[in-house]
Amino acid sequence: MNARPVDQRMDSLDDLELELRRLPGVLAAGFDVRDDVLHVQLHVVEVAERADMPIPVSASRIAARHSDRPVSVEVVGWQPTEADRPQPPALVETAAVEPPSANGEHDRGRNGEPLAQLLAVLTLPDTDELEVHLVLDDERAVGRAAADSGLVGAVEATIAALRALGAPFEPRAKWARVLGETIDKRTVVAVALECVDEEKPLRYGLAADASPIDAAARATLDASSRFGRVRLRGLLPHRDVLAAGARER
Amino acid sequence: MSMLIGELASTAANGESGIATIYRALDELIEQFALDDAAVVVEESTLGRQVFCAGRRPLRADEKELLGAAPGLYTRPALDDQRVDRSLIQSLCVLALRLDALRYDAWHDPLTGLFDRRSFDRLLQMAIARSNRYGRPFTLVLLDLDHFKTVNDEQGHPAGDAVLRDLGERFRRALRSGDTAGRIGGDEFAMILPNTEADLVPALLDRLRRAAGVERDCPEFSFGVAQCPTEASELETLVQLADSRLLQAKQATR
Repeated sequence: MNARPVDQRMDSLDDLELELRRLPGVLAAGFDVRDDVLHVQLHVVEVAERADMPIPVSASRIAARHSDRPVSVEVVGWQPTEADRPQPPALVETAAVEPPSANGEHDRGRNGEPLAQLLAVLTLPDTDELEVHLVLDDERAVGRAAADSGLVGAVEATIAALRALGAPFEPRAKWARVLGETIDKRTVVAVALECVDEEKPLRYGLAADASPIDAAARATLDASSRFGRVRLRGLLPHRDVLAAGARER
Repeated sequence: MSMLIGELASTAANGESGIATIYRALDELIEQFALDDAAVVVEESTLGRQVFCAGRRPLRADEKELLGAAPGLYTRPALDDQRVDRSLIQSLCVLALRLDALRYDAWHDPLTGLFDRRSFDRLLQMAIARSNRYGRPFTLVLLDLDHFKTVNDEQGHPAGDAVLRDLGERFRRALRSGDTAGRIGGDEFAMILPNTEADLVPALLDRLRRAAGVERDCPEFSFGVAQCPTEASELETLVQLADSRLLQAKQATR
């Protein structure tokens, strides 16, 4: 049941798959290569309005256009019933899992080591500043930036807090963008950090949270964890290597 | 989990294929959590409900339930890990798919499904660069329907649109995989035919003419052809050459 990548030029297959999925009623597309023939399987739901050309004909033409090898197309018609709709698949199970808690209780690295966690992002109207509060074990650090810098300000404040916790790198905010909303209405923000010392100087991070600046701070933590993964994840938990900075206890 | 999210962010930032990213995300989940399999069901505004199984594999009979399942992440065995933010993964897969849909719309002419003028120009530029770098010849074909205006005038614009749509489909079928076709104006088409020497061009043009069904209900059309790099190796001169030959061919029909 393990995934088997199809032996085919992926660029071409991406285009083919996208075009097939654009046909009316197509729900799923699968590919397999056997005996040098590209087998395409489409699952199509019965729809009232059909294109002027039958799906098997359209699909065969599209597949032939994208593939250098012979193509076979299997179209599986499917009519959903009421009984099908609300039930999760019986064979492919799902588990309801809560997202990581806001206090970062579950923010751990791949091997279970603790990572810096976001406590709060505060905007201070009096000083027109934005504060990002991070904690690592019982070490707490605050990073500050100008509030009118928006998302980038949240990124810069998070970087400042990470530095205060002793993170051994010095990235700078390249950009930060709101990408959209999750289905539970949290804002999704992507950030790019640049660190010239690294082999791959750009690292991207993505996170969702209740507000754009909270999401930007979380996305910055996410991106930071990609810089010198071993160093950051390995060293940060040990206090003896934490640099003294604007720490609070 | 973090790597998976990074992949999706990178896709959004770098213009990579969203579909490929969804599969990479599923593969990453399988690897990271030692799963047997994973699938995601997403609901995207343009494409509607879509099911993606890891590895692009066809659905098995016992997985039919996935097609009626609510949007979500489905794994075998059940994934019970607090690091997995299902709602975020779900949203990012939708985003990745939306990027693909938008990209497709941005590159294609909605009437014929061929590349539009801007994307064809970009592809032509790339073809010239490749040809100059590797010495591989290609032929640029510019094509213009003769007297197409009379179709619109006498039968109406819907009939004219139907002719163009049909022609686009016929051209797509007639061209070899690797050839590129675009609709670059109202009734103007263009094609890039890679690795095509001069002696092959007449046969290809004849095939296009037959595919277009000129002997039946489709208007006649005129061609202008230029070869890269033998006749021109710069965009402007190549297009000018093909265009002037097209003009000569058009004048001959009047």
